[in-house]
Amino acid sequence: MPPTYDANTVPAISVSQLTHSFKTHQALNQVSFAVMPQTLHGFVGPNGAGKTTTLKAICTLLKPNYGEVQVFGHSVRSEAVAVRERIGFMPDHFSMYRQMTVFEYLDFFAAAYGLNLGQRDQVINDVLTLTDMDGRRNDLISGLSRGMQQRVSLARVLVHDPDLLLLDEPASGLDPRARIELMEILRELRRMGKTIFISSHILSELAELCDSVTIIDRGQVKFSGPMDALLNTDEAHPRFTLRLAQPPENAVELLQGIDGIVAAQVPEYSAAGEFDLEIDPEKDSNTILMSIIGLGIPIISFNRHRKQLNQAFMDLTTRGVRT
Amino acid sequence: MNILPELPLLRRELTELANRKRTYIIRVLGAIVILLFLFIFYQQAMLNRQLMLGNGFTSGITQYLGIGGDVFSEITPVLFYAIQVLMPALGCACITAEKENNTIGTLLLTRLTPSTIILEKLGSRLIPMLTLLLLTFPVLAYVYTLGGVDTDLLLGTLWLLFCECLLFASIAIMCSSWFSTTVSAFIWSYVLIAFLAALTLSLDISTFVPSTIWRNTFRDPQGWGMSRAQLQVLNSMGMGPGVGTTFHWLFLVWKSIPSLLVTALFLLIARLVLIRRAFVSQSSVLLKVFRFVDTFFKNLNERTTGGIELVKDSNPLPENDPVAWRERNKKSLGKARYLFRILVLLEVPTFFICMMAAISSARNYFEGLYVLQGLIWTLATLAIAVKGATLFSSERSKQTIDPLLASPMTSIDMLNQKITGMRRLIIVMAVPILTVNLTHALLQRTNNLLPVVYMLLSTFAAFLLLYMVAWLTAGIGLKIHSQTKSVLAAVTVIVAWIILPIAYCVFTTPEPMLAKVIWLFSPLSVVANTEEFLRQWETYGVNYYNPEPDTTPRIVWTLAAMLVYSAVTFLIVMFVRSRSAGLLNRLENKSPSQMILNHNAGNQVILEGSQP
Repeated sequence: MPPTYDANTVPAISVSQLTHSFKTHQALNQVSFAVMPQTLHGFVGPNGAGKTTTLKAICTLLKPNYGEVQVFGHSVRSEAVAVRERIGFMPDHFSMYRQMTVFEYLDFFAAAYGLNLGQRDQVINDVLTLTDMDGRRNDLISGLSRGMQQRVSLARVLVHDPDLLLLDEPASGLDPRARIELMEILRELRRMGKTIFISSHILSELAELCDSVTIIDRGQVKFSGPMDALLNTDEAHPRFTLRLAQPPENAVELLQGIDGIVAAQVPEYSAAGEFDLEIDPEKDSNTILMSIIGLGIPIISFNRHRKQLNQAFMDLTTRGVRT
Repeated sequence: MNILPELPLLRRELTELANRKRTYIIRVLGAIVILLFLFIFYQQAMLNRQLMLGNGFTSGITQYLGIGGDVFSEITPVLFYAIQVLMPALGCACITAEKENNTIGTLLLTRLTPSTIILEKLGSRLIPMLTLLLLTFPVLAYVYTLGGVDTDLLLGTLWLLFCECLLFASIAIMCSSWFSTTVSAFIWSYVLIAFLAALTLSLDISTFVPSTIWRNTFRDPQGWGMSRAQLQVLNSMGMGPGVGTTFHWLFLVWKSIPSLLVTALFLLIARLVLIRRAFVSQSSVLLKVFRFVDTFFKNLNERTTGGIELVKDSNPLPENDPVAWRERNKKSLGKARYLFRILVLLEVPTFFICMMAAISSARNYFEGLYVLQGLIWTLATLAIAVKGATLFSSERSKQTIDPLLASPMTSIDMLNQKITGMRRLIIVMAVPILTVNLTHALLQRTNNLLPVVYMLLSTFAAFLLLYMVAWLTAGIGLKIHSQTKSVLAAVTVIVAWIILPIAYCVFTTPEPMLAKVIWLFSPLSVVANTEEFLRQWETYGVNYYNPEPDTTPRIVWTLAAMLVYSAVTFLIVMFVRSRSAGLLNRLENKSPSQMILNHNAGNQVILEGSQP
């Protein structure tokens, strides 16, 4: 459950009018969005949409042509060091110092982040435990599997206890188990109060995981806001999916007879006993459910119809390759 | 029916080459440089002929008899040198680029056989080189019209130029097939070529290298230091030893068979290792060798002493200088134990040669030591240039730099730590240089402070120049993102910086004082002036000074050179440091905020401070 905010809450990330071009190619055009603290924010877009460019601008590795980026109120232009102290950045590529052990690698970055010698051991032990890598602390990175290397990468991001994690395609190239485990770690991190900004292509997992989402296409933001606002349908009549255990043959007529149900139909491709209901927006869905129960037909489920993130993504983004 | 084979790989390579803007830039620049050299050597040949004939041999119309032959013998070596320098650089990336881009697997899965891949790659590298040489053919045609160049000479030379291209391309392709990175292939191509040249020279075998065949046949057939055309002129006047055997050009083809066999051998090795080493990891070869040696000695120690260790191998963790720590402990040219081996490898032969020179020389100097000194300086400069240029470019190509750049360390701090990590290498490279300098000093059998002053000056010169090379090449590596390009650029900049002022002095012969000033533009002047400082006091058996010492005290020039290059080094350091953030594509505060070591407390302070 995302925390609530008052008007004075400083966003974890605030991007305003961000515009950037590489020679003649405009990568970002007036990109604006905000990410609130302690949320998990998905950043979605087709290849070449400008995701990595935006991430690089947030983590001070790109000087944008125009626009302002702030991290916890610090401008990336004028307070880059303060920004770097608050963020942990995991790039999309999978390269690490392969000739170091896991411990040496983490110790290296702990030193680079200015942690003193006394703190490092404890911090590294903690992050290794969190990422379930404490048994491999003395292994060479070159000998680790891709999933384990990704865990080490995540541990590296956490060594200086940043408030904001910027993760660029963290699940790419991982097998299903490693991916699910990574998502679990991210959930745990959100519980710990971290703000997580994650760019990914795996939409089904993002839909489950994220509190809010930004969809970017061809350098422009197409949607930015809570996940629910994106996935809930905006039709005139809210749609529900009803599944009945043993529906009678005249089930459709029975359902249409209930006050508040505008239309009932059997979807074209569906499991047996499934019905699509359109209800009157003025009516309470609980009252309608009570009426259906009153019909005496055993009910398996009654859900508000939500778009899949895939569908929302396809609706908002443009077909074809960006030129 | 298609008579010609498809050659898809060759077509792809040439298409890629044609699509790159730099192909044309390099071609134009290459042509300008080669034509410039041709013009200079043309002038030189005309001048030499006038000087030779001005000494009373003949005059009138006959003085230009066969002048084309003179010019030809002067300009053809330029073409051979161009091939020797450019061909390995052109060829060394042909297979390593596929490995670095992970496209080698796709290539091997096609119906192309390994032999076809190697041959098409060879063709793709030969064609650009031959087109470059083709640009010089109008000049050769003009020289042919001047007379003195017969058809056999012309055809034979063209054939040998082609063989030289084949030989050097095959070396580069073999290295490219063996090594995993372009940088390794580039370095080892030149090492192998140097080895081949040393073998040819020391064993006096001429048939393996086409340029040597050409030199022995046309340039200096009688060992008089005169070309065949010049000998013909002397012969026509009833002088000279004759022009040597006149060869039909087909005889040269026969004579070049050993060279072609060597070429075939290199290509065969390339073909044999192509698949075997297609997916070899990109870790350093040197590091692997060192690790192998470590294991060998560890096992030997286990067997002989039961594992007694007098000095335990420590594996420290970084304190407050993680980048320097990584350079010192995780790199083949950083770890003390590995560097000590390199030091022994360099120092033992240097010390042996110096000792032999000290024992055998009756004079107070030994010419051979200057050759050794030149070799060591070249090696040291190359090692530091390659290391300096790859400090950042290697991290970029391995994509390990972004997490580091996202840390709060400043760019200047990273740069300083990287250079600090090179300090050991600089010391190791300076030791053999100073050993030779010490031998020079000890050969001075004087009781005054001269050798001490010389040693102080040369020690300062060695560290100053090596330090300057480190910073300069690190700056180049910051600017150029590709490892190969940064190494090539670093070596080119250093070579050009050394050679251009000297070349200017050689070709324009300015006034001695002006020449000395121009010399100061070459970093070599620091070493040369220091050596000159000692050489002016050289004695000939008895202990009195050179009867004709320079009117200007050479210590002034030595100190001037050192002062100039101290200032240059300072400027380079300041420039690279000031541009480091921009070159790393990194935003940096005008005045970095105070680093807070206690990260948790630090975060809270910043957060509170930022709340409205």
